[in-house]
Amino acid sequence: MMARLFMLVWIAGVCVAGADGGRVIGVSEIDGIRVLLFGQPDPLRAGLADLGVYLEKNGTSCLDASVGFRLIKLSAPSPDPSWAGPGCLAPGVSVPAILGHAGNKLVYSAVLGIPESGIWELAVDINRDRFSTALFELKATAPAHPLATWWPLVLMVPAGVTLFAWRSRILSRRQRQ
Amino acid sequence: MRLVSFLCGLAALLVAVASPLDAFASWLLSMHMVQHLILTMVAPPLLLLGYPLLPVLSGLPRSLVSRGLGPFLTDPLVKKIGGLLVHPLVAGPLFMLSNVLWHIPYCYELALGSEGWHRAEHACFLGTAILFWWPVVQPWPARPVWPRWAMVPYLLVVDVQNTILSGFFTFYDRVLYPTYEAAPRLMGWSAIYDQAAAGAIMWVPGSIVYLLPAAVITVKALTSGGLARPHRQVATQKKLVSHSQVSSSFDLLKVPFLGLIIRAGWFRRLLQCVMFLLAMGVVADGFFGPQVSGMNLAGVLPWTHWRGCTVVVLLVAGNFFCMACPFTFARDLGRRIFPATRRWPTALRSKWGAVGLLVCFFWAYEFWGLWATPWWTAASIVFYFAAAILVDGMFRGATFCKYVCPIGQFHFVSSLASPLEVRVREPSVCAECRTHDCLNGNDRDRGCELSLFQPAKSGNMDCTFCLDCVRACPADNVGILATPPGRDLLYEGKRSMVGDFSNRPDLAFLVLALTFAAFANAAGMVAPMVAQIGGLRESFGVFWGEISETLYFLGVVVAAPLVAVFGCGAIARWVSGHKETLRPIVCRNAMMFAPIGFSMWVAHFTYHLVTGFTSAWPVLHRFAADFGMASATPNWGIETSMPEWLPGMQILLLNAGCLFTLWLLWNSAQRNAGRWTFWSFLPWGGLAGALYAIGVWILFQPMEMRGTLMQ
Ligand code: SF4
Ligand code: SF4
Repeated sequence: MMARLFMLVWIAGVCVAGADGGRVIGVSEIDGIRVLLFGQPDPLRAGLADLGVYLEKNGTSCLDASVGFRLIKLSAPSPDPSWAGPGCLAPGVSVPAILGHAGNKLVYSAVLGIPESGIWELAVDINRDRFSTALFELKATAPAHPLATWWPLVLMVPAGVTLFAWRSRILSRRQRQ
Repeated sequence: MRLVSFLCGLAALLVAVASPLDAFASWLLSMHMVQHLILTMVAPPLLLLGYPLLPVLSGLPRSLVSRGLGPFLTDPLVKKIGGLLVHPLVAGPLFMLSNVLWHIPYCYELALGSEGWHRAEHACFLGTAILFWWPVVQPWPARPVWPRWAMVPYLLVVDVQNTILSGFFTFYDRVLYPTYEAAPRLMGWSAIYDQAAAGAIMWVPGSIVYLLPAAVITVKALTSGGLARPHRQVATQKKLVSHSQVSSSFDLLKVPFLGLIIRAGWFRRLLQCVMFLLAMGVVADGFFGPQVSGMNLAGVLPWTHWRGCTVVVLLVAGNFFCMACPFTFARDLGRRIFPATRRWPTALRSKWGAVGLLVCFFWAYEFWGLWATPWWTAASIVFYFAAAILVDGMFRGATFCKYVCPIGQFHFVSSLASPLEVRVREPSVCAECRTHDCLNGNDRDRGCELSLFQPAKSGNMDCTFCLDCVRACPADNVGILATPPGRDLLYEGKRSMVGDFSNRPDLAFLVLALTFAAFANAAGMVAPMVAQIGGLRESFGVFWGEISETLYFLGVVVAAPLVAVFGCGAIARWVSGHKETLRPIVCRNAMMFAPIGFSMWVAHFTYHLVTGFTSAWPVLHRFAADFGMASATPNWGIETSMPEWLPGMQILLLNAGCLFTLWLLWNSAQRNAGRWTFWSFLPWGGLAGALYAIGVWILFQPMEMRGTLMQ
């Protein structure tokens, strides 16, 4: 029992130890700091988005800043709110981006909920020796249907039924023999 | 040696997918290349050298291997397909194709830009690499299809492909993948330098990995007897099988320390005292605290934390919340004043009364907004205490738990899918027993108040996990044993005090009401339904709007299940030409819906537990401050959000419930419909599938965050 429990925890652990991925979707320079913005999914959609910034000064990484993300809507509201409603940010609310969040410990990152599609401005507040804000314009397309994200899990049921039917066929064929 | 090799293979996999290598894969091509080399050249041969098939199968539950995987593994068609896939003429080209295809810039960029494609790429690499290395390593029970020496040209051909590809990376003078051009330049490496380094890594260590086994095989082929196959597997197999045969069922009460604590009488009292104090706090705050549910203990603790924790504990252990029930604690105190002397009227000895109360409770929850009105929550708890003291003060045994308490009924039905059960350890000991203390009690301990006689008890129905039977049994023959979840649902026969499920329409309806209510209750919180209910009130006015909502609710929780199960039963009976009357068919099959209903409850309540977990802290802070025990103002802005893994976990739970219900229904049809199994199963399976589809739809909607300040 304990061994099976351990196995389950192990598998669950491995499942969540996913990759970071994400590629650079914007670059900006503020107060001598080069700010590289990473984002996933690419292109961005309304709903949950994994955003991260890498800060670099004179070719070395800045790991001693405190960073926050704010979303500001630039275009008019769209009528297609994301299905992940509760996880989405209210525009203007600041969310801390932290180093430990991503697998890549050089990136300050956070998962943000983009409430709706349209043009957004992402304000990256950087507090190091002084406070500065780098601005990025983001275009979020319409939210993906949740099935587009979770279809592998939903497919498990038909797959399970098919395997079971197949197994039953094998057994009945063997019985007939 | 094999174990070491297998563990090294697992470690290599872990390094490849869950280490900084992966995190930097989209920054440095060379890092990404190392990751791919581990996935294709290091982990697969190490895993296969561990001869993993037998140990992996031995480590899985025996029933899963013999009844689940066994038929596939021994099926001639599956064996043929497997044999074809690991044939050198198929495995080699597949491996090379995967290597070349994924390095085409379009495909590579696709993987870099999407988590899903990145995983697909890795799965492709690992899968084709295992196929490729299979004929080289030939792990037991593989049989060589080519002579051993043929593996030398096989490896060399792949090495040539590897050399061409790596040469291209090394000498090409433009950056192949634009992502790396935009990425931060670590260690001062330019993108083109990084690309050349990646090529060199692929070339040199890559070639060594192919050439080394080729050399070993050549040397072995030139020395006599070097190609002999190992023959030691049979002995290993015997040892493993005999080991698993002697392993006995897990018994929670035999776990050192924990078992002793759980079985001690004071432990239950302690749990009950804690729950009682919490209930008193909730009642006090509900009556006298702020009437905003997200700021009141009565709006947060019962509806977010208690419900969520209850279903999680039911899922992973058993009915421990009945064990900790504060109502029975109050009842036991009350019995010092009211010595229960009467017997519960025979006409009421069924679950119908509890089912009625359960439906009323669900109705009140939605329409009186119990969750949103702390005062009502507090009043309900007080009413519950009064009812428990009154009923059990008048009637003997655990009448309230068995025939009245709606919460208890929820726990009893849900615990049918729990993995632990209070059960006799050794039936032969009971056969010799003359006193039956587990039922009758003795001078020291009372017997089962729910009249469940251990040797004839099956499953968790009606068991409150009070452990009175454990303490009363003079032979120490009762434990909390592991049981396959849902086993009792397939048992056809009489259980102590519960009887035969196919002869218990009250139980069947209880399960149905709980199942349909699970979906109705969750649907009532999603945006489209909330909008529709709001629309009803707008069009008909408040009074008629509420009447139509009530009818709608009764339609979903009472009428729909009845129509659905009688319809399915009638169709199944008609198509299978079954002689059995409709009642046992309906009762038996209705019980099988317990897992899908429970899975929906778990998916729903864990959502509130996870998203609203932190909401308790500021409320507890405020409560403490009201009593002068804390000074500072609570932080009401505490973050509540939905973690990204939550929807996936909810779907997995619902999947498990649906598949489990389908499996139970199929088994029931197989036992009772003979050669008409499929037709008899079809309508029931369709009903389970429809519930699943509704469940998935509900989970995909934005849901209200009740019990938090973000409602
Ligand atoms: S459980 Fe204990 S008391 Fe009950 S019948 Fe068996 S041996 Fe006797
Ligand atoms: S069988 Fe009876 S005495 Fe034993 S734990 Fe269950 S309810 Fe309590």
